[in-house]
Order: sequence, then C-alpha cells, then structure tokens
Amino acid sequence: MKTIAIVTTADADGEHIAPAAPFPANAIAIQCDGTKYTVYEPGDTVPVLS
Amino acid sequence: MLRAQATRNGPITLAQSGVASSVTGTTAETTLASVTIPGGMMGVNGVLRVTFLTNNTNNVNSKTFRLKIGGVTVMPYTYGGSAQAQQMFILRNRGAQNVQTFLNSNAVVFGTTTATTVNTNFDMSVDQVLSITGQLAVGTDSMTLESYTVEVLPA
Repeated sequence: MKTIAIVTTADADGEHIAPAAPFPANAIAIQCDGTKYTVYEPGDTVPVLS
Repeated sequence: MLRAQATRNGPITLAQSGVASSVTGTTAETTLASVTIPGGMMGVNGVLRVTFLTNNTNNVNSKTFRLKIGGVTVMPYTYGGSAQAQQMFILRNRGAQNVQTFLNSNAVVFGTTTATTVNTNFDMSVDQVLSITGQLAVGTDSMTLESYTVEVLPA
C-alpha cells in the first residue's frame, strides 16, 4: 500500500482534487479520502465500499 | 513504383483498466482516472468511445460522475437511488479535428432522445486529457469507477 498526494486544481466546474502523480501500474484498487489517494497493491486487503 | 501504405481504421484501445478507483470522505470533485488522447490520433472523422462501469452507495443522495476533456465537462452522470451503472459515450469528429458532436444524453446510448444536437470544439489535433471524476453530495457516501475502456476509431 502506498499513498499519492493530492493537488487541487481548478477548471470550468471549480476546484477539484487530482493525484499529484500517475497511479502505479501494479495498483489493484485506489481510494481517495479527500486528503490523499491510497493505492492498494497485490497482497493488500482492499476496502469494501457500499 | 508502388508504395504500400498501412492505415488503421479499426478501434484502437487507448486505455483500459479494471482497477477500482473510488472516493469517499469528501464532497470535492475528485479525479478517478485520466487518459491522454494523443493529438491527431482521431483524425478528421474519427471517433472517441468511452465505456465505463460505476458503483456507488445506493441511497437518494446525488453522486455525479463527470466525463471531461481538457477540464471541460462533456457529460455528467448523476445518480441517486441506484447502485450500479454502465455507460458509453461517443464523441465524433465531423470533418475537422476541432469540431465534434455527440448524443446529448446521459441516459440514452443508442436510441432516441428529445435532446438537441451539441457541437463542441475541442482541438483534437493536440494532446487532450480525458478524465473521469466523481463528486459526492454527502461525504459519507462512496462512489467507484470500477472499470473503463477508452477507444479511438481513427478516420
């Protein structure tokens, strides 16, 4: 598991959150909580959202 | 002298992912995926076809996925009272790389709609970033881009 920082940018819809770096190729799941992107890799337990 | 020239008009899968990309805990619009469309790849009559599968908390609160090109929303998909959706969006260049049209409906992919034709003017002769974002009305909900496929049909 690793994290990617967020950057806040603006476009026609206003401000939005984007990852500061590309998602890694070995990601199996990605989750953003508004402060960071958490990248789950093989072997990690992926959170289940409902 | 004969000169062979290969041309490819069939679909080119530009990007595809089955990695779940989700947002929860914030009401800020959040990028879930982004793909660069190489400039000139579509051609003057080419097509950009985006297919994606989403999942979200099944309650009445709004969850909006947006399909954007160059930071401009070309189609919003707002859900409430549903759990899953699969959509296809088709952007067609019409005789020039900077004139496009598409079916102006986020509910109909094939079929009829009373929505009027939309023309856009994205300059597809230069690199453009296609992004899919998610925005929750209530931060305790969640929304997930489960999978997407981005194809170019050059012409």
